[in-house]
Amino acid sequence: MNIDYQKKIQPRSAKERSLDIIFYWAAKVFAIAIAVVLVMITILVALRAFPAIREFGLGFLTTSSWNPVRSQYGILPAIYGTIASSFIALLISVPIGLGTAIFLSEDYFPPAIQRTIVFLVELLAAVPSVVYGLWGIFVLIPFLKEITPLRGPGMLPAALILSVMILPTIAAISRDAIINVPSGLRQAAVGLGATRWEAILKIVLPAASSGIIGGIMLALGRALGETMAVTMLIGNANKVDFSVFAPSNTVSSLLANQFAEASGLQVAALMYAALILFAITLAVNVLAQLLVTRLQKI
Amino acid sequence: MNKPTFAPEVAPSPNGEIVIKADNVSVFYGDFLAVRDVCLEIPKHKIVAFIGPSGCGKSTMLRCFNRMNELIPGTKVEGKITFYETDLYGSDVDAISVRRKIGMVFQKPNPFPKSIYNNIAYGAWVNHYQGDMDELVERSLRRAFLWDEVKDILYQSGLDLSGGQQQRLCIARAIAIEPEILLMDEPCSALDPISTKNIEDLMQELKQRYTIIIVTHNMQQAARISDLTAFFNVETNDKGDKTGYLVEYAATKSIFETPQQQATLDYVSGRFS
Ligand SMILES: Nc1ncnc2c1ncn2[C@@H]1O[C@H](COP(=O)(O)OP(=O)(O)OP(=O)(O)O)[C@@H](O)[C@H]1O
Ligand SMILES: [Mg+2]
Repeated sequence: MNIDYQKKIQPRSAKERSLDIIFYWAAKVFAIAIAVVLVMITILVALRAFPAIREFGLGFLTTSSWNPVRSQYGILPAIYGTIASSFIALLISVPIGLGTAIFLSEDYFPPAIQRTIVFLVELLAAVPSVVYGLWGIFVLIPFLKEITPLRGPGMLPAALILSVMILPTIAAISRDAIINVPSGLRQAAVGLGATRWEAILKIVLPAASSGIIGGIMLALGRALGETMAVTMLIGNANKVDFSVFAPSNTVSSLLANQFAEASGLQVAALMYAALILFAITLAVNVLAQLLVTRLQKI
Repeated sequence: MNKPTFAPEVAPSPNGEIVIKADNVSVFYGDFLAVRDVCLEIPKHKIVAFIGPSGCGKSTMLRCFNRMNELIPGTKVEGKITFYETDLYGSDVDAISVRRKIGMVFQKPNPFPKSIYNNIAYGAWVNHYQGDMDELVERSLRRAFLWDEVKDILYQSGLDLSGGQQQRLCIARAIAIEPEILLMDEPCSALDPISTKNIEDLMQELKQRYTIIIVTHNMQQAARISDLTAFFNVETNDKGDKTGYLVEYAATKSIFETPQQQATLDYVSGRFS
């Protein structure tokens, strides 16, 4: 009896197996549900955009008028403004964010002070965007008017505020990536006679690059889609002007400004614009993925 | 405290030159005394093995020789370590230039996530090497007996190599900067017997040019490859702190065959207290 027991592989209990199956299906359903929601939103937006797509075709992307009275719609200025404001924001916040991340991953400060600074940086991400917008209107713009040719809302204050808003994302994610670089790599570099900076620049940062780029892309995604603060600061002017002091527009602030009184073809045009914004962020993310996989191979 | 005394019956090196001299060295981690009162001399172009039970401070001592311990906050070194005539911890000596003279190979192979070529070129870069890089890469890889295996894949990642190859790449990387001394902390413990043999053969070659200090848990390995062996042990004080100390340091043959201390005999013959 006892020997028989030893020789047999016991079947798992029915309860254990059914729990397994339940977990399996629950996880599967949730995973699929996310994909379904995403696809559904895209399809519905595309359907609603269809009249505008039929009417304007790709010309929608290359013309600048937004005239509900004459039913003429084009989002070139908004596309330009979206990309330009995000790009300028990145230009400012990538070096600062990366510098912060490096600084906060080294042992320059005692741990307690270090933790406090990290917490404060992350707190920047918790400030609601309307607060950034208000601060921009009442503090930043008056200040910029003093020292630059800026006359009111415009590209510069919007991009500056965006850069502050995405800074914590870049700093926090880059710092995690840097901290997670195996300590053996740094030791190897230092063991070869590298200075702290030679080790950081040539070994630690490249090893952390996929995480850092991931963080930058996440930040870019946020910058491209950020609505409230940008709408408050950018001036919502529907023309392409390459001066950073001129008012401009972004796709998301266009949507936010127009949806309330829209009807008919204008709704379709807004849906079309939303689709384009979605396509831009999708492209950024795919690009980021490609970049990350490429970098990991070097 | 009974300080272990020993007559350094060191088989004199050909020219009798001493590369590293530790004089009454004690190492602390914060308040914790990890190793105490180590005195030893490392002769040029020899292989010196550090053996002893886990936690007796072999790695700690090794790291002191190229000031890698300074990466660990709170470490303190007392006593004097000299490299030829220079005090390694002298106020006019900086750690970075020490490490350029005294290279290190780690327990776990740790190639950079870069191409094989750039793994070697990095050390040259931080040392402001001016010569022909291709030539340096080839020479270092040849000295590490790795060239034939990798000459066609120099631009592939160093991480794609096998563990043994990775460790030889790390050795090639360390010797590319032409150090005087190579410190090796259990360099074979993550490797299979064949890779281990390769590295042991390599060390016999390297000894023509470099002085090697190796930490090993493998008694046969120490007996096979080293000229001198230092046996460290741990003692526990009344507070329960474990402190390592040097028990005996002599020619490898005499450590394994005619040790002067009972503890050494027990350890090398596999009897642990
Ligand atoms: N970074 C550190 N911080 C604090 N204490 C440490 C640190 N590294 C080692 N120690 C302590 O110093 C003592 C010696 O450690 P060390 O690593 O030098 O031993 P070892 O002889 O190399 O052991 P092993 O054979 O296991 O590698 C141990 O008591 C260990 O706990
Ligand atoms: Mg050790």
